[in-house]
Amino acid sequence: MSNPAKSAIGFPTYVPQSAFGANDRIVYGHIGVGGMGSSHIVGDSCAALCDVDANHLANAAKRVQGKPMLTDDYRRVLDRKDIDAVTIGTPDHWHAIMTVHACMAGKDVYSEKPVCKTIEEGLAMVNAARRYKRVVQIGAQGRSNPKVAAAANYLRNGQAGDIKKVVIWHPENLSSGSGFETPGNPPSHLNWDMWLGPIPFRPYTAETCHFHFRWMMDSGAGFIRDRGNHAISCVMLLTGQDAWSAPVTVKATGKTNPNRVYDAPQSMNVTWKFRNPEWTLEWNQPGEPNERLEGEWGATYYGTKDDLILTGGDGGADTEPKAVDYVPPAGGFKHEVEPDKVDVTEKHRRNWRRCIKTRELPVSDIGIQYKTIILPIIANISYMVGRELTFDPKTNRFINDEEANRFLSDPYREPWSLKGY
Amino acid sequence: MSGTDPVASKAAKVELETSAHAAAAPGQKTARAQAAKALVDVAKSNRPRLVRAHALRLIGFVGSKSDAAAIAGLSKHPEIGQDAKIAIKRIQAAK
Repeated sequence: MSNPAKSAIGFPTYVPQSAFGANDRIVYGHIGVGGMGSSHIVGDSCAALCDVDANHLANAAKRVQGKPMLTDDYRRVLDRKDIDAVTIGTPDHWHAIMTVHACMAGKDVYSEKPVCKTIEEGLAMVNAARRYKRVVQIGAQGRSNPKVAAAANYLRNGQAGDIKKVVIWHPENLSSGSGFETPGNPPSHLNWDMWLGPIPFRPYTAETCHFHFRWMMDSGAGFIRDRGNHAISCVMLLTGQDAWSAPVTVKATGKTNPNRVYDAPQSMNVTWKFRNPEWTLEWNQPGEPNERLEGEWGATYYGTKDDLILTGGDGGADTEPKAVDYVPPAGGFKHEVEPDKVDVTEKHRRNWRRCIKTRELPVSDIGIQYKTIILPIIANISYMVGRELTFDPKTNRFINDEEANRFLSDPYREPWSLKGY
Repeated sequence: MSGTDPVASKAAKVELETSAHAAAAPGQKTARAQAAKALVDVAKSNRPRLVRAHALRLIGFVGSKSDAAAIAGLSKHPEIGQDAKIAIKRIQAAK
């Protein structure tokens, strides 16, 4: 199978260095098993489960054969020499630190989206994956979706001409309504200090913990970095811009709900202007679905000859018949997905498992996904400082804005560090 | 910011953030210094923990090395010590 990650970015395929053979069993540790992370559990090859919520742990343990180690401290999972690979399904603020530490510990990693919170974290993840020669797949599974592949094949072979503009539509963040929960003691089954981990202390409320952490900037940052990781990953694949390298200008506006605690904007509009080639990406939240092919969220790709709609872009996606029916020419661009007849997320996991054995780069490799996540990260920074910014991906810094550059990293609460544990 | 009316508190928090970041836009040296000084005063006040913690967060973005020195004494505070350390680290890392 050709490897899109390799062809797009030009990273080398790793020389095999694992003892894995084609039939060898991979032993997993699963970290964060409450939400999407619970779907990654491999019941017949799991040595450890980790979650800071004992209820999550108990539920997950029922799905595992034997007696896996149960812990609320991921470092104990990484200490286990018998574990080859970990899945990470925690809130956003743990993804980078756990991925980096797992790479240091010699584990291959499947981490949920969004990739990370900051530019510093993303760079650390890429560097750790390369330095320790680990296979790091990000759960932006649109790249394993046959419908996304069909749309990519249509556009990358020039059927719509040069893409000049892409417009993403997405519903508002789920931070509507009114009312402020009174902070209180966390429930006895939850290790709140460990849930917070590297982010500054905040008192426990259910409305800022499981699932709803997404609407707090410290632990989430709204749909733009959450679903946006999926949506923009698809945009960069379909436009062939995974390796974008010229400065990009970003202007974001938004509004929080004044009647809820959440500080991520409930509605948000962003425009990124790319150079070399010149094209524009818009995030409209809320935005108008394209009536030609409706979906809760998606994007319209406007080219010089035609346009194309892709709805969704994670496990679910759809595109227009002209793309579904399109057959790439011999020698033309063809985005490959795992051929097994399983759902998209399982295809994505199988791609990771296959790459663990072959030591190839996975389809949603950390290198590609770091370049993707830069875009929502800098959009949120533009929103927070309230001005247009220009980011240079070669220096990984904003041009001529000292304050904005202070957002590129978020110092951690002690004792947490990207340098080790 | 941490009074009995959470809507008013949130509005005050948003206003503080907006004005601090506006003051730190490129080319506004005086306004930025004044904003940082006001935030240092809040951080060192007897106001509620979350108010002082939020002021420290903003100092990390708009403050200078002298502001970092001004809040260094808070780094051992039992409640907001970590917030002070984070602000100081952010300032020290600025180029």
